[in-house]
Amino acid sequence: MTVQPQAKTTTKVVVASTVMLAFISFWRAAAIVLNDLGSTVYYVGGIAEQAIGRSAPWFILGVMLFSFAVRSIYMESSSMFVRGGVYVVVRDAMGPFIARLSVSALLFDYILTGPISSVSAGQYLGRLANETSELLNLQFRISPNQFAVFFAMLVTMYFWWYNVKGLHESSTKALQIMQITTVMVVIFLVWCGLTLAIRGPVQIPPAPTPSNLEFSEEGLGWFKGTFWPTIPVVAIIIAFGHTLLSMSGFETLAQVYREIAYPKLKNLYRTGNIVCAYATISTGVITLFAAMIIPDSVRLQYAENLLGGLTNYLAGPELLRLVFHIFVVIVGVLILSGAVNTSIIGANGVMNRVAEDGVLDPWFQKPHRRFGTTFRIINMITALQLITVIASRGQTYTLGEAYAFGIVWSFFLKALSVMVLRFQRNDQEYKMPLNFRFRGTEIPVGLAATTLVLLLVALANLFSKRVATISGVSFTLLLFTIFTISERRGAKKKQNGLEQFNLDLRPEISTESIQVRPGCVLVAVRDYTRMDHLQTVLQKTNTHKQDIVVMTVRGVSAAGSGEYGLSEQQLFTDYERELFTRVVSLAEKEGKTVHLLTVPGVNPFDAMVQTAATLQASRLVSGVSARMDSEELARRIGRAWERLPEPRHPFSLEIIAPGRPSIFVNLGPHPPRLWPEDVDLVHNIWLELSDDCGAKLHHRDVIGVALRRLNQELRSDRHGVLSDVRKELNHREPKSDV
Amino acid sequence: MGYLSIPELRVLTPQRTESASDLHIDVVFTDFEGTRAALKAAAELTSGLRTGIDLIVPQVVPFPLQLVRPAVPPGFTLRRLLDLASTVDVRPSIHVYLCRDRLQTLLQVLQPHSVIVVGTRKRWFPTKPERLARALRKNGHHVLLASYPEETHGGMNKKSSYDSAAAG
Repeated sequence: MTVQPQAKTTTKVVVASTVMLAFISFWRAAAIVLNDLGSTVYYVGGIAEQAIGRSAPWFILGVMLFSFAVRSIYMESSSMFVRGGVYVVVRDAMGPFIARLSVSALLFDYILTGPISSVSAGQYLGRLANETSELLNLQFRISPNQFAVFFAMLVTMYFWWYNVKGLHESSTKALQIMQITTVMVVIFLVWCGLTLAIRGPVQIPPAPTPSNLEFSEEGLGWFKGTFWPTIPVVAIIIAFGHTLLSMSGFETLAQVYREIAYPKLKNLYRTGNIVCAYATISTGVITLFAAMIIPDSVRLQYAENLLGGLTNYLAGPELLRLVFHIFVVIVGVLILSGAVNTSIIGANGVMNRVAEDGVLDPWFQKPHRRFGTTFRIINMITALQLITVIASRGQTYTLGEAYAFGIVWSFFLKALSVMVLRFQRNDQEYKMPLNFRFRGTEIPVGLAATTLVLLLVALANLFSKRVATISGVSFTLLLFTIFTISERRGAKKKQNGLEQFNLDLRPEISTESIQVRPGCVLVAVRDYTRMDHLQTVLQKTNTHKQDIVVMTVRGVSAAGSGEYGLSEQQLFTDYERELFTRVVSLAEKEGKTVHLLTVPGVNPFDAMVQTAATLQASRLVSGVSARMDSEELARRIGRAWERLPEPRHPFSLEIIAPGRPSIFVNLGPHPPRLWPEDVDLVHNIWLELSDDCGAKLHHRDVIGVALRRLNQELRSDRHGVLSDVRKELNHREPKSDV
Repeated sequence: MGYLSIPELRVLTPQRTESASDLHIDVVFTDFEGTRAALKAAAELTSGLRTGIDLIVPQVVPFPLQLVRPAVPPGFTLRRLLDLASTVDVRPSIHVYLCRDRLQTLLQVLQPHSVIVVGTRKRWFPTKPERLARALRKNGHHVLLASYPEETHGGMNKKSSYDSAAAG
């Protein structure tokens, strides 16, 4: 990014805008996903039990196990799209119409995340205050619902201002919250285990069978009074739908994939497994423990603060339980408040993303005059969240019911898209298991079964959750209408998902100015349809040891490269943007870092060689040229090297052609790689001469004499020497030395 | 976990526009008020010397957003910083880094044993910039804290003081 000169500060201002991409370990990636997914443990147990009765913990455990299947869907989509969020995947598979619907559902999910998290945190705080007051025999009491509304509004407003200002905290903070949460989970598991060992379970939740389901009136919704809930399979699906919200937060898995370190897919697999296993243990097992330890008769009193209630019924001294209760509430406030912030950031990000595709009016993207943030989008999201908080009257149950709408529909549309892509593309590096071949056609049984389950759950939710359906459909239609009108107005030109690059004009190239270590690999690219050589380099190079610099030469006329220099627009046209977008995409897919460089030059070979020399590259890599064969390409690059001023930095040239072995060329003076018969010849001459010259004679002396005689002959009988050289070239394979 | 330096894009042109200084001081951006105080302190320190001032801005992009799509466009931040620098009559080189982690980025981009100025508000408890300064010192940098009192908020010409005793 560059700033145009200003009168007062121009001369000494050098502006650099650089991305510090941090490829993250699978542990860190898992922690980031769990920050979203793990917070549901605070409210899902209570919500589910209110809707379907005492067997809810088994269904929650079932949903958490089902999350492994959803993980596979996300893995398959990520193997095709490095940035495979719902919107991108659905748009690619089923077109922009359905993509707009899916993104509306996703936004509904984001907007509900804030209120349900903040209201839940408020419930925990308010109820802790009451319980502590009661313990201390004080008369002080507050209404938990009213307090939850007040607290949720406070938290939402705080994060609204935080996001409008746009000064964000490092991701380390989220990791610290996850570490504290893990401490809490471990204490719960140990303490609950001890309690069960000492006292035994107060009761075991009834098995998850249709006969044990106790649907509430709200839990049945429009199914009430119909025959549907009497059909066992339908009843199970309805119950499953009421617990699906425990899986909220998977979209983050697609978001972090871009930054997961090499080997990407393997690390994504590990991340997904850690996330699902952690969520199964924390959300699934702890909720089950709560159902076994808190007596049935009182458990619904703790529907809004199930973990708080669980601490009250653990074995041990009252003071210790109170301390742990406070700790649980503090962790809850931290993780749930963090989810409010993430929801605003996430919704803002999605809205901006669709705006770039031209489906949201640019009016929404107008930057804040002082802070530069897209405050209109942030205001809209916050306003919707505040309205939701007030409308919920502080009840997490109402919010939870509505929340599931966005989750299940975005999951279903994503799964459907991945299945459609099975038949449209064949570049899946990972496929969801259980695929069978029937008459040459692959039948994705695992994927189809998961998609079917999600569809059935989505349909069941449509009828069993009145609040969710009315609010979700209204919201989705409203957003869908805004998107459609915006797109028709066509106020913004589509950018086709090209990368946004920050341009940094520098006066000269050096290892310091672009922060690469000497010995780097310089890859020259020009045609984005011929990038096999870059892919090979990305696969082979260990970027911990060697940096990869990708360069393209921007051809300029001799007149154009004069003393006035070149502007950003001259150097970086739409073609370079497209080219580097592809480069970044390839690099991301391999999980390796690249440095990008555009160099203006009259002669591309000179520009490549000069850049390699200046960067002290160990290797210059090029693909094959459409206009000349590889030997000619090597020769021209070699000639360009000869034109470099002394001292010339030596490096090797590698020309990579798809499906053929690479051609290696050493540029500049270097020991030749002799043909085997020439080595024999040198040896035989040496044997013959060593009888006369003694032990001091070496092979190198033989070659030295031969070369000097050849040099003399070149001056006395040039035609004869040239004729011999041509004969040599004709009866041997082309040599690779220049 | 390994953090690697990956510039998203640099466009290099052959012409040279200025000669670099032999010495330089890094001012780390914390917030706008703190940075104003830090720039003023850096200017006082370098008065009469042929020393360049680099303003290092690690702009954190939270995780739901793509790294190249921060909440605030880097161009906007740069213009704001240029305005800020002009109000204290300092002409720093400004480097904005889009990143996930402030400290990791600073450790990556700062030269070893750099002289760094960090602005912080005077508080009785350790502030975020103070904690950042401590972390930088632990990593071998020489950090000066330029503290400013609470009431200077929004002011342009209030005197800032740097805590020389805090130098690592």
